[in-house]
Amino acid sequence: MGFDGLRPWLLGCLVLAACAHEERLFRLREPIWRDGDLQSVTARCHREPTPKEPAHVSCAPESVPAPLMWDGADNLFFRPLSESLGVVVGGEAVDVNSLDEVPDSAWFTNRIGRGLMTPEQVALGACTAATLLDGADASDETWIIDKGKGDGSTDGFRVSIPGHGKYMFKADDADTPEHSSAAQTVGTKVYYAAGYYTSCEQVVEFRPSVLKLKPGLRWKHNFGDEEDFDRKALEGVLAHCPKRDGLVRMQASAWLSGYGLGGFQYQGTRVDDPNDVVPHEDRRELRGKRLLDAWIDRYDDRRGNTLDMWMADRPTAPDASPGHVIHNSLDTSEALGSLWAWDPVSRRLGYSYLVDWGDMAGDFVTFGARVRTWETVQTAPGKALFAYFNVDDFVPDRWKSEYPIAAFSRMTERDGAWMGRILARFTPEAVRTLAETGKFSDPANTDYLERVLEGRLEKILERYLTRLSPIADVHVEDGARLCGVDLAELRRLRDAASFRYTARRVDGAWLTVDRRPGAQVCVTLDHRAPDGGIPDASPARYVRVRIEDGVAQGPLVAHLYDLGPARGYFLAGLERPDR
Amino acid sequence: MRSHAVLLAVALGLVSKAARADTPEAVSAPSQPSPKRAVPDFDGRGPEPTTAGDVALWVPRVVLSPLYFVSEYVIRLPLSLAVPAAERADLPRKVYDFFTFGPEHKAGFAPVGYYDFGFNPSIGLYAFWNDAGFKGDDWHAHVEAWPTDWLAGSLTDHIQIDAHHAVQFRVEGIRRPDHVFYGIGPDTRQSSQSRYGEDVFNGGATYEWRFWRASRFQTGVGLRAASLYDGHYGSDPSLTREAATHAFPLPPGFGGGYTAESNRAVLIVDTRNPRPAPGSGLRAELLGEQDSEVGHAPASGWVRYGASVGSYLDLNQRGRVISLSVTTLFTDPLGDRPVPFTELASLGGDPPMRGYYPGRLVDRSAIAAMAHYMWPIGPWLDGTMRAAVGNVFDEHLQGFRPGRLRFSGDIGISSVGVGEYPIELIFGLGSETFEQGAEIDSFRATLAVNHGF
Repeated sequence: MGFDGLRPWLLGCLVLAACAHEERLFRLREPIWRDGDLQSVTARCHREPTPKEPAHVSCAPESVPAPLMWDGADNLFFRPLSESLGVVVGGEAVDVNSLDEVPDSAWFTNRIGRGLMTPEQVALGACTAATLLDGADASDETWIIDKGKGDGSTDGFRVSIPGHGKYMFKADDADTPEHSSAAQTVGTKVYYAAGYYTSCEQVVEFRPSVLKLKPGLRWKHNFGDEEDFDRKALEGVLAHCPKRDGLVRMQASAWLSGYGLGGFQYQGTRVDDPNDVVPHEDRRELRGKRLLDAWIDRYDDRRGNTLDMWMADRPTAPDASPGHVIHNSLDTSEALGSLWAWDPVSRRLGYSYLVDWGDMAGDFVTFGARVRTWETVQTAPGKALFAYFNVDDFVPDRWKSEYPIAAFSRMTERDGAWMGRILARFTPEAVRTLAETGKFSDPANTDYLERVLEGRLEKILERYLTRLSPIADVHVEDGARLCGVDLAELRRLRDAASFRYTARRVDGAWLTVDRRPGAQVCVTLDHRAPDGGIPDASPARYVRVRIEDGVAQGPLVAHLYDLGPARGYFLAGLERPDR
Repeated sequence: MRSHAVLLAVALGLVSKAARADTPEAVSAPSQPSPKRAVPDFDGRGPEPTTAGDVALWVPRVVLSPLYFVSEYVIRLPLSLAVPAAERADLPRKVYDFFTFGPEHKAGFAPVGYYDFGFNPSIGLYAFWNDAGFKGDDWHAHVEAWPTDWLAGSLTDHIQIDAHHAVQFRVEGIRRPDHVFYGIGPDTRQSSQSRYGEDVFNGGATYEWRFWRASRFQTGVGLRAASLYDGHYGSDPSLTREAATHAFPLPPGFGGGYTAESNRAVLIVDTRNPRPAPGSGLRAELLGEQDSEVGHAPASGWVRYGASVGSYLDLNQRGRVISLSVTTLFTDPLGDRPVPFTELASLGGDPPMRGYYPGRLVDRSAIAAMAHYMWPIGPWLDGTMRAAVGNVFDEHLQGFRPGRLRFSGDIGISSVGVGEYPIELIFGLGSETFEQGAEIDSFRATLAVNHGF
């Protein structure tokens, strides 16, 4: 059958598809604020030999180390090719509740986005009082080094500290002292506050005498041979660490609890996790993470810097079922402006992929007519520590990770606006607190980091809170007032006079709008439906209210059920169309 | 009584279950895995309806499905299994260790390849051993081959005395049957394409002095031995067969061989600094070489000399460099014997007239003017575009007329500043002389990966 034979069938499909479109009403139900993937499930048992137990059988999902090279090669070459030939297109994210928000899940927990964190909590991040370390006052030889670092490009070792737990201690790069430890600490605290699962990271300063080296340890680097990790090796590591007042500075990463399963992919689902049913590239929290990474310039977000942990119901049997998977995002040590060994690559980070077919083709066919940002970007005077991390050259929606990430590539305006609403909650005080967690010895570095973070944040908010409606925390008060907070006004993206609120029912009736302190806005609703007589879920009770703030291009459309004067309005759903 | 028995049985079962759960065996106890849960209806509106756009997308999907199948299932899927498995087996490190040696991996080897449309391709190995005898003593070796008589090898010892001075010793041997020959002179026709083979041995020593910016002076001595014979490639005729059609006479040196001792000096004055410095500046090159045939009486030989001057302008100080240059080459015999045709002035293969095959234009002298533009397109990757006019002529450009010039153009990409040899993908074309109508009759495509010959 040639194309002529297919044509009537295709036309029929088009007509049917066009006619099939009908308005989708929100159901009369509470929004989903917690996904079911935190519930325990039973994973398939399989043989997973260990050095001590060659016949070991695990009843957790299979532990698969993240492939470094394949992840890069696939995302740079093979996946884009296949998706192009398969005409794969992305739609809106799947795991979005009726209020345009992401429920708590094994991937994400609403924290600062729902106004639930103080600056002090932001500074704490995933740490607790029990996991914070005090290296200055610790007793000699109480921190036991029990393992050399097994991979990675930085030096380090594992330390077991009674009463605190296990930590991986990592040294800063000798050429950029204090940078990676600060980036790791600041980055993970940003991640945690935004809602992601991550590890407790801290800059730790300690007297070398608190360390005690267990004999017979080995360590190795990427592509290196395994070697003894002895006193000499330890002294070599400590010699390159920054020091202040006799204290050595290192990065301490608290050991995650649970059973490690390897990194998660940014596409598809994990076959052996019964809870994992939403394709990762269609998870809003993974799509929106692109913006979070853009803020702190964490170009190194990839599978290898994530870690799935199996949380068995019985912690004494870590790889037994039942249990559930928690998806962690780790290692932000490359954030805040770090360098590769080669400057032509370093200056492209954040602006272009390592192999960027689009940019290369564009530059080739235009004969280099356009001067690219990476050609002009400069380090700030006296701030080589932060490399090319700056405000001036930052364009939020053009930021790129080191290679394409499937979920990032699918980020839509709505996904970006969602992350924009979360980032709007990082107050200047919170940003200052974040910068201080880097514990720079030079206060000017803290000031610089604060300025850059704040400047980049403002650019993100300007971009993502002025197209789709920035009104958040929408709720019904007293049954007859629809209220919310305009985050664009709260963050003073425009002067107050620019915000001119209007509201009307979609059937045309104008509604009264009240403004309150703290950029709150309320719309008074009138009742048209009776208390009884018709079913609660009847379309006759369905009301749409359109609120515009005079700044954003698109309105907020609230979908409500008018349950009558006695019970008031029920907020069933929110939409943020682009116009 | 019966109910008690049931209760007891249930209790025993629970106790037994609890006991199992506390033993290590319980971890390994197989149990029925949970089924995948359904995707929740997160927003309470059910699945998105199918749109006309969704349906229309199936048209290109169906059309592209064969390509998609190959990409996804023949290439990507197997690789997605093989590469991670190789990584888990630590294969990359083993491969790295396999290709490089020594505690600092200063020695190793790598595959190389070259494809020039219209010639035999070659594949081979490039080996290196840096700081071999002492610091700065770098050994490099190339071996390339292709079935049907194609074989090449070289060995180089480059000794960097200090930042400015270096000496190099190099021997190389090449046997290939697919060189092109069209006759000697400016008016040779593309239709006269024939093939000859060459066995050549080169050996020599060079001293280099880098005295200012990119300027340098090189001098060296060497010995070259060559034998020339009929070749073959595809359906092209051999040189002898084509000569028999009176397309051209048999060239001097063909059918025999020669051995020559050479003395050579090159002076390059270049005002430019290496990248990433802006690329504006001037470059002048003077070349002089005297070759004496060994074993001939009376003494015979030839001299080769030439000059090239170029002006380079970095348009925005960021690597967009446009340049204009003029190159001349001359060969004069010493004595009565004619110069072997492979030692004559030649255009083609390399710049400036890259739209022609290597050896396409051969005669006693040559001149070419070239405009070149290069621009950055990626890390260590430039776009490159050349347009040139030029040709070969009789001694000392005798017979030169503008109408006897030819056009050559090429465009492509080339690596810069990476390794000893660039990685290139170049497409070029060349024309007949303007007097002959300037019809484009030469096409060229090359792909070189770390090619050394």
